[in-house]
Amino acid sequence: DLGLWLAAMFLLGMISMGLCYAFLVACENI
Amino acid sequence: MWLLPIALMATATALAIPLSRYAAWIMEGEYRPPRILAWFERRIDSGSQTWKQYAAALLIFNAVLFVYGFAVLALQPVMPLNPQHKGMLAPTTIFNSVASFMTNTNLQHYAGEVHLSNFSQIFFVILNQYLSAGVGFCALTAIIRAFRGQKLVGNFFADMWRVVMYMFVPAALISGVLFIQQGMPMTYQSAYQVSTLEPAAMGTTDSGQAKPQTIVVGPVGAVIPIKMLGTNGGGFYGMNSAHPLENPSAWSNFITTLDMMLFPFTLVLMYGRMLKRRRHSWVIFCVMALLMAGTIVWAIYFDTLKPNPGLTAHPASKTFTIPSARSPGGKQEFTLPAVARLPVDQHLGNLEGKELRFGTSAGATFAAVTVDVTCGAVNCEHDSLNPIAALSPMAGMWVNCIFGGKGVGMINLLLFLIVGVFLAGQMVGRTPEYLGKKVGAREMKLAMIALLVHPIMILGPTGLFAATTWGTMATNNPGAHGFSQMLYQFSSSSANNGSAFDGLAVTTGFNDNPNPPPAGRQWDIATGLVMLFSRYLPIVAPLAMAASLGYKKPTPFGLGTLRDDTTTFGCLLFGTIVVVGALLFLPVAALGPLAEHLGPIPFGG
Repeated sequence: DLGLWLAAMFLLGMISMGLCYAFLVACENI
Repeated sequence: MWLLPIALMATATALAIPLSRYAAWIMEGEYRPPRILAWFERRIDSGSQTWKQYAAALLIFNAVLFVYGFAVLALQPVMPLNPQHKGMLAPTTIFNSVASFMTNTNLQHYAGEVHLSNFSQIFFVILNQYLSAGVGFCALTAIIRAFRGQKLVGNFFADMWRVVMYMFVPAALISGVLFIQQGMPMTYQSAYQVSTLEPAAMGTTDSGQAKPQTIVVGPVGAVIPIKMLGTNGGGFYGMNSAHPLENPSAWSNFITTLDMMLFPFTLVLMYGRMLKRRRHSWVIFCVMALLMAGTIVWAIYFDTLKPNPGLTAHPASKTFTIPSARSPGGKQEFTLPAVARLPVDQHLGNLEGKELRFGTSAGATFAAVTVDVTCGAVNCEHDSLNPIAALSPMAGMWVNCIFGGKGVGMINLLLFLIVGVFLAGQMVGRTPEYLGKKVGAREMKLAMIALLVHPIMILGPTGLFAATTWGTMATNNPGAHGFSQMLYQFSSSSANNGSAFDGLAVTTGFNDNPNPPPAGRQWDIATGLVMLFSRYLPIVAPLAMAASLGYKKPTPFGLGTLRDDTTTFGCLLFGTIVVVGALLFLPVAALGPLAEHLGPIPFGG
């Protein structure tokens, strides 16, 4: 339903930004 | 025909010189702001940050932008300034649109005048266009400070304030006045009802009265200046800069094109001023200008000076059998109709999808410039460009450093530059150096990671969609042109460009759309993810690389040192961009626009 789709898309965006932050942390150790 | 691109390049260069001095003055903090602005600035500036803190602040700022944008679009039906009661976009389209605008891409899987209220245009589109444009500007400034060896590279929030308040707002005000003078609407009204010149052109009511035409208007004069100056590209109207209210005249078209060139040109020269290596920045500028001239000449030569292959004479009809996911048995009969003696005058080149009121070469020029500076606004139909001419905008997005977006284009060029000095060092058996510092393994790893994000984000999803019905069900054209449409969409997303080839069924629009495109959700999600990763990873890694290089001790200048302010260095940089770009993307170009150009079916393959 609509609410689930909205929550899923919001989480997808947040997870993507979290992965970008994880990449920043990884860059310190390269 | 050639006057327009020459005038644009010359004017943009002439304006970029004083503007680069102003930009460096602002970003170095040498200005004295008015008291009211200084009060805000003191509260925003929380102190200088290390490169890691700066990058973290940049990412957190963008995460907050995502939450904010998602809320504005999801709540559109209950927000004010919505007299036409526009509903909520589909959730995947909300994700795509928010990712698109916060990454400065402005890929639009919706039509602005149909799907967005004036509230969303003001508080989602305009706000994101100012802030996302500032992010790249700030990132380049931090990289310059890191190259100078500063442990603290400034404060992200203070830099953002400076860029928006002292760079974008004044420039947008000047542009806005010029645009409104040319006839661009600037109103909080949402639409006009007008009687058409031809009675009943819009049909009649049950009682026989002529229906009025609805012309959507709004704060267009506020959106378009920052749309172009910030190399955003997301228009108020679905037809973007081809719409008569978004680009009213040939003069507004000139200003529009100039606006999107202004800051990308300026930042290259600002780089030299802030590093006190102005000759070096002029070498980079000339390499970029040469590449831009090449893409413009290519587009004009193959589009404005060549006929539309779909309208040239084919005395007899021909039938081809081509693979098609939508046809039973996976094959489709395609008949090329006979068009002998068709009364079409083609001496002005391919005029399909062009706005002749701007001039014959304006479409091809705009198409090349908009991808070179990763703006993504369009004033002609890129899907209708001659197949080989379409290689020009694609190549601009693939190398993504021909001036590029403000800041990020210069950052992308630095990646090619580091690869270039590494190759030069290998050729003479000497440790590569840049800015008097030795380029080590760590810098090369970070540069290569950042450089490879872009091709991975283009070629991977394009291959996936081309091999599945997600892609083949969405294309309007068969064969190689359909592949070009998919390739262009992911190239545009990854380059944070935002222009569209069109011809792809990707617009779901409102959530209650009874006939959504078959793979609309997949396209929304895939391009959204590509935009996010292709935006932030190639900002973070170069910032780490610049900090790593900047902290090193300078090496003394010797006879074997590769000077970075000579023609030789310019040739090395030019060659690196062309060779690396060709190695990465020539195979996929052969499957798309080249196959289309050489194949028997115009706009098919």
